[in-house]
Amino acid sequence: MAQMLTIPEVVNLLRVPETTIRRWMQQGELPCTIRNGKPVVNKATLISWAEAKHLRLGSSALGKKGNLVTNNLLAALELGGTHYGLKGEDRDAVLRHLPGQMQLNKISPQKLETLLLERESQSSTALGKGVAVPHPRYPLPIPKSQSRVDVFFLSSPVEWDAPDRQPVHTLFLLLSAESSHHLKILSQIAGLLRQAGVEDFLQQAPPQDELLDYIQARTSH
Amino acid sequence: MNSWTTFKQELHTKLQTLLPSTSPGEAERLSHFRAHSARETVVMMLCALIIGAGSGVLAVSLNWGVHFLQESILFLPDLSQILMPALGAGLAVFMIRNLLRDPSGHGVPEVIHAVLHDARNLKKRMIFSRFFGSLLTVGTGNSAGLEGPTVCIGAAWGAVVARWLNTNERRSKLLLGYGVAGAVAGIFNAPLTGLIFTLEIILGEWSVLTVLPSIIAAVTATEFSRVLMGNKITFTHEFEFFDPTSLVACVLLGILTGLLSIAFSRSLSWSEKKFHRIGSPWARAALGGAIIGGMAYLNPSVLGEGYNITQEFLAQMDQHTVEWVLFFILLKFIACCVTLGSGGVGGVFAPSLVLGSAVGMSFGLILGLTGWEGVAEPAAFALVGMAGMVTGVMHGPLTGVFLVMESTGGYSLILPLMLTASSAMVTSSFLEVGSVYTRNLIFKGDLVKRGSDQHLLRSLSRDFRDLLDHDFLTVRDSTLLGEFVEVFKNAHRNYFPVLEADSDRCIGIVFLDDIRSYLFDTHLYKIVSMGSIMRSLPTISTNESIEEALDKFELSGAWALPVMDGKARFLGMLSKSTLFDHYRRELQITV
Repeated sequence: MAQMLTIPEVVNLLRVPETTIRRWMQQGELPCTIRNGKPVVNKATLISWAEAKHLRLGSSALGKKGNLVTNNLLAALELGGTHYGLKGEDRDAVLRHLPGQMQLNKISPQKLETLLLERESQSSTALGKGVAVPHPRYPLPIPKSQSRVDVFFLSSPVEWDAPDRQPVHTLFLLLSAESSHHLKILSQIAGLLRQAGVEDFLQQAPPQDELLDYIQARTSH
Repeated sequence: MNSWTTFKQELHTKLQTLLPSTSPGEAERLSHFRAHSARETVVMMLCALIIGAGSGVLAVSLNWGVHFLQESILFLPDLSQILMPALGAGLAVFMIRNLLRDPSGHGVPEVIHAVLHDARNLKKRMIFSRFFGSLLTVGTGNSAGLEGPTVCIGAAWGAVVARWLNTNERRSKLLLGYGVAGAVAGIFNAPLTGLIFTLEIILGEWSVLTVLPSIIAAVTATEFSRVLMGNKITFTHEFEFFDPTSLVACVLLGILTGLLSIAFSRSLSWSEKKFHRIGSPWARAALGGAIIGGMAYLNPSVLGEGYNITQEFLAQMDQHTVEWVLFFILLKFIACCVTLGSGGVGGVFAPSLVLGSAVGMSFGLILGLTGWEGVAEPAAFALVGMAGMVTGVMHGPLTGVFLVMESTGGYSLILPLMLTASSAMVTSSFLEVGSVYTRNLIFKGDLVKRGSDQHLLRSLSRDFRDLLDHDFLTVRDSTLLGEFVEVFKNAHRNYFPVLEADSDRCIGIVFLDDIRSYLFDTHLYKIVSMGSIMRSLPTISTNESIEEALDKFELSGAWALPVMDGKARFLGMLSKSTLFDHYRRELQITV
């Protein structure tokens, strides 16, 4: 049986206000039938009609599966991973080793390395308390809504031009998909660091599940 | 010379005061309903008077020149008569290309293109190139019409007047149209045809400002033509009443001419392609002329416009056999394809008329052989066939109907004419998109109807740069959030284009809405750079069309998009709201 769409579904598909859809139906522009007293539109008819009228259909309705939205620190950490014993005698050496440690798709390690170094050369990404949040100079072409955070524990602390002059021992590598994610995750990390005892906890290089539990207990969504 | 310049300047200021300004205020709302300002109409009618006189004289002198040339050739020895078409066509094309440097093709499509896009750019040299080109081509016997070139001459003359009066784009288009009306009216001695042709085929718009001045131009040109050439009715004939059977037959004739017109325009482009294998344009035309010369040696009836044959059909219809007429159709068809396909300077108007009359004639003769009672005489069908063929080729049913009606000087044929024209139009538009004039324009996407949405948008995008927002502040990708807070205090807009630190390339946009809730989180001031929170958006380039730009708006869902010039330099932001403002303004002035 043909799939029939109700007005709200048509609104979703065409991205046009409901009043407009109703007006088009009344004017006889949009072919529809009445079922149970409500106007409905055959989906196949609607798609060919929209094509003929050069209307673009919303991508959401065309059977695409919605991706998991990782717009907070915890979800982003789960998507990323935890890495231990990252070597390097100074900041640049650490950043050069870093991309090789992680699984990347859609971007080459060399490209990531360049973008991270470029960002550091503009201004330091160290937050203080031994933590830095390296991220690329520009947003990366990663899947939409798939922001990720990878935690790296360094084998030995390195100088990172931090505001509190402390050497850095933990990195939160942030690859954000959207500017809103970027800001939210960054502010969550900054908020986390403001709490007492975080520095000592991170210096122990805790295993991933402990780290996640710890962060879950201390961040607000 | 100086006094001439001052006179011209005074004339321009005078025109400005006479013509109304285009910004409607409260009081002018009413005048919107007054079918345009009467004053503007009067001024345009005066302009049309000048244009009509000019194009009428030009049309008549071209017509006279061609006939003079044709008659003088008759005094030459036979052998050289055969060589004349080759000489004439080759010389005409050589002169146009190499001396006048006018690369345009058949002409009428160029005129339509000019009316739609840039009326004031139609070159003055077109008058000379078309005049002498078609004089040499048709005068020496090549098989093409004078009407196409005359239309170009009239339009180019209209453009000359438009430049001289320094009118705006909109009025220049109208003046071009008046030129065409005068030219067609002058050459056919048919004012209504001139009017209808320009409205139906060139301007495509029926309003006070198109109709009334076109009437003036057509009347003036016709009067000049009558004074100079005498009031000759091209095809005189008296007709009996058309019975219902013959009316039904007219529908059939319409289908027939519709089909033939498609065959004709397709063969034209086919032969054009074949002739294009010869590199040099004038050699191409000369070869075409030589073929015509050869054909004329076998059967001289293919020479020239062919109106004399049509007149023969009408005057002595009993003296032609079906076989002879069918043979003539074949020969004339080939001859026209050769002349026009080889780039000869001429139009399709006369060939369509002559072919149409022959088709109608043979149709009438065959009907006569069936022995039906009371069927109309073949000559009547010949006239009706002309209207059918013109309609099919040019997609102008009214032009076909009025032309035949006027050139026979009678109203008696109106029913069969209208029937045939309609059925020819339907047949031809079933199988072919656009007319012989507009087909290439449609393929190139250049045919945009005046007053349509697309037309308005096109006129907007012609000056893209003027539509850009300039009152925004830019940031660099290295700018930190703490520094941005200072910038944002002075901003008028809620978006901030991000320029690359070491060039002026725009790499993205920071939207205030995205970052509003983090703006006062001082912990982020030193770590968030604009580069990492910008949105990367599609950019619009200045040489893109407005349609492409709108597509990008729709796809990205953005409210404003950055515009770059050819060298990826950032020029400004194009916002949908500004676009809408300008669109509305454009709409107001075209109502």
